[in-house]
Amino acid sequence: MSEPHTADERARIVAALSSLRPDPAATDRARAAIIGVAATPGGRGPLRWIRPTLRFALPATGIAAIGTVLVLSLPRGDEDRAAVAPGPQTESCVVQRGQTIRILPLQAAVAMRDGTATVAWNAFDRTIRVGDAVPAAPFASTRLSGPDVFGWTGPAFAQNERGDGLAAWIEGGRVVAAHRAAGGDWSDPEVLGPAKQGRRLFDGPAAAVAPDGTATVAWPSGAGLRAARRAPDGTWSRAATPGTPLQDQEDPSGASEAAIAVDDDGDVAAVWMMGGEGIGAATWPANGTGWTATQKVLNTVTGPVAMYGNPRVVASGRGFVLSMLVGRATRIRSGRILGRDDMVVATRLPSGASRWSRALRLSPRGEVPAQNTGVAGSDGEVAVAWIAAAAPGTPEYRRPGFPPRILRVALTRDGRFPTGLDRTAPATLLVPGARGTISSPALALGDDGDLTVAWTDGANQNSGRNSSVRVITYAPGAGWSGGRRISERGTGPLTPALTRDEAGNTAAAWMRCAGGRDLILRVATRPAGAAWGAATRVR
Amino acid sequence: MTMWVMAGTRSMLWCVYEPVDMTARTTEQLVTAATGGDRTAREELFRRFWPVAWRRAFTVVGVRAAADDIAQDALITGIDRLGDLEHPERFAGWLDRVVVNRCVDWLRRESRLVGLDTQRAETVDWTGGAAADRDLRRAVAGLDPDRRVVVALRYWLDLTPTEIAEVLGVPVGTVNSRLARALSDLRVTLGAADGG
Repeated sequence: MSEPHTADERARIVAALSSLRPDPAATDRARAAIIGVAATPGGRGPLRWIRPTLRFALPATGIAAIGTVLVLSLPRGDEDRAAVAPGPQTESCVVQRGQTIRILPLQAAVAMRDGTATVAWNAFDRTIRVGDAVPAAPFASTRLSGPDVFGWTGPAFAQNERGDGLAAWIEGGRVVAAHRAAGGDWSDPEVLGPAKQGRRLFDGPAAAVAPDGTATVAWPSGAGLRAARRAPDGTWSRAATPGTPLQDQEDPSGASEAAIAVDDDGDVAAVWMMGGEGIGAATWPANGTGWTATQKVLNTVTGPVAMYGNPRVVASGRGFVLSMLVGRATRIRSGRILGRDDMVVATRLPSGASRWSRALRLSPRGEVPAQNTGVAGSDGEVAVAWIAAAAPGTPEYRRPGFPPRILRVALTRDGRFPTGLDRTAPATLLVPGARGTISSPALALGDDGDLTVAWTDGANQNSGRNSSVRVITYAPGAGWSGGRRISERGTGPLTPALTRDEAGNTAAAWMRCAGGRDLILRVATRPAGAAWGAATRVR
Repeated sequence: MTMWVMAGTRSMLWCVYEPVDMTARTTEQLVTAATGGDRTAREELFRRFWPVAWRRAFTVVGVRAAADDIAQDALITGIDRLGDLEHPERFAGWLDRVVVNRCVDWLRRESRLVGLDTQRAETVDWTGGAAADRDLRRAVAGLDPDRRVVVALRYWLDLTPTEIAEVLGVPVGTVNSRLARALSDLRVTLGAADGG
């Protein structure tokens, strides 16, 4: 039987469908449900990237760092069998028509002051919550937000040394913030501006609080950033990096991954992905009214850059340090990249300077790094950590086709990163067994060069049935010690957050969606000079 | 979009490192990467196929809420079973079949396919889009349910009459007959709208 339609009729009917669009809310719900579904394993996959964002408030601490590159060992210490206090049954991570769907947990944000930990998190019930570890009601949560919080980003949370805190998040398509003066209560949420409407799922805001209480929030917009600054008297001012429009409009751009840091003078540095134009950096001076001109920090890297990402910035006493992942093209033919050398590099913006320094390579050749993160101490020393696939031929490399992961840390001495790598470092962090993998490094740098490292053991991007958070400590002259598991074992992923106060008290927080419906948020603390305690279930 | 840096040129282009730009990858590459646990690949699969799956579901069932659920279920199933795909390049077609099957299941549950000769006023919310498109969609929405479904399956899901017959469980001749009547109805409606 011949077709009943003409070609034109068919074309018109087909075209009538093309303008139909799903509701954005339905798209959001579907994305949350679908991206959380783990694919059935089917052979070796590529290196898995977990959102490496480390958002925490670190009061300035004094340390003396060691200028070398260390490779962590994994001493299997005593297992943590301490009982975890049962928590109330929480809302499901995502439940749709009675079917439980596991959603990728978000990273909680944790701060520490005078031995008291504060944690802020996205509760997966469309709210942002915060809780303090006070003796009377440990981590009794306070709802900071309204009921329409975007489910894909955790809050940005920053706190200065005296306890002034700021939390920022995305709600109802806008960036919203709440403030708490030291010893006070959280304010009502305030709208700072429109949030970016883009393809990326994790473009939340970044926050920093200066020693005098001035708070800055920045988020991607256009090819740069929008920002809002809260003065100690409570007044807000708005600014955007040059080229970023301030007026409300739909933002189709690719700017993403904003990170900011504030130094003791109150100067703020921001770094971000410029949507295909490289990595941008700008500063907002404490006494200024807006951002300085944006610099493309990939220009600090020698040679052609084929890939880049994961910019992070910390404020040391000597200025700002930016670390990033860079893939330098080693062979180019007819416009195609045939060879690439991936590395972690760091560049500095010294105090009072206007240009970032030439980038320094931190990672060894042959390893493929990822998930770099950094932390600064109050005396100007900096630590940068990253995950890497071990290079063939090295002691860390086991069997072809499945390079295990290692975790490396670079520490400055007198403000300088090592120019060479100590490959005779005592040990290497390895993943045992075929299912093992490590990810999501977190750092806390304290007095006398004490470095604490936390990571996820046994989980990849969105699965891992036996995953846990492990920690280890480095002390100058004493090396690595105290490697242990501090969390329960369970379904991944996990993205631990780590923080430390001036006195040396340390806190770690992690979230998981256990069993597909039980949101678990736990915090463990280690008092200065003592051992890690049992984790407290916050949620 | 993936771009590459050329040394020494002003028109330097960059490629996103984390995550790797997935938009230039084929469906087969995305399926393979997603099967291996690559979340960015899964995100790209969602970005590419969610609107398509939803649109297909909506055109068949005509109810947004149902289309939301059907498309989401289909994608969840599809992504959850990526490891079962022997031919990753056929993911799109495979997903279409899942959507169609779920749509038909829904229609049957909603008794929309019962009483095929029954004239019922159907309320479908095919709103939005350009005026000409709305007119045509309104015309399709005004068809009898059995004719509307075959139109959706034929022109918006690209099923052949034989495939439609198999899906609906009716003879091929019945499908062809419904298509012919549907086109006849649409020509009357569209002709009036066009002033012809």
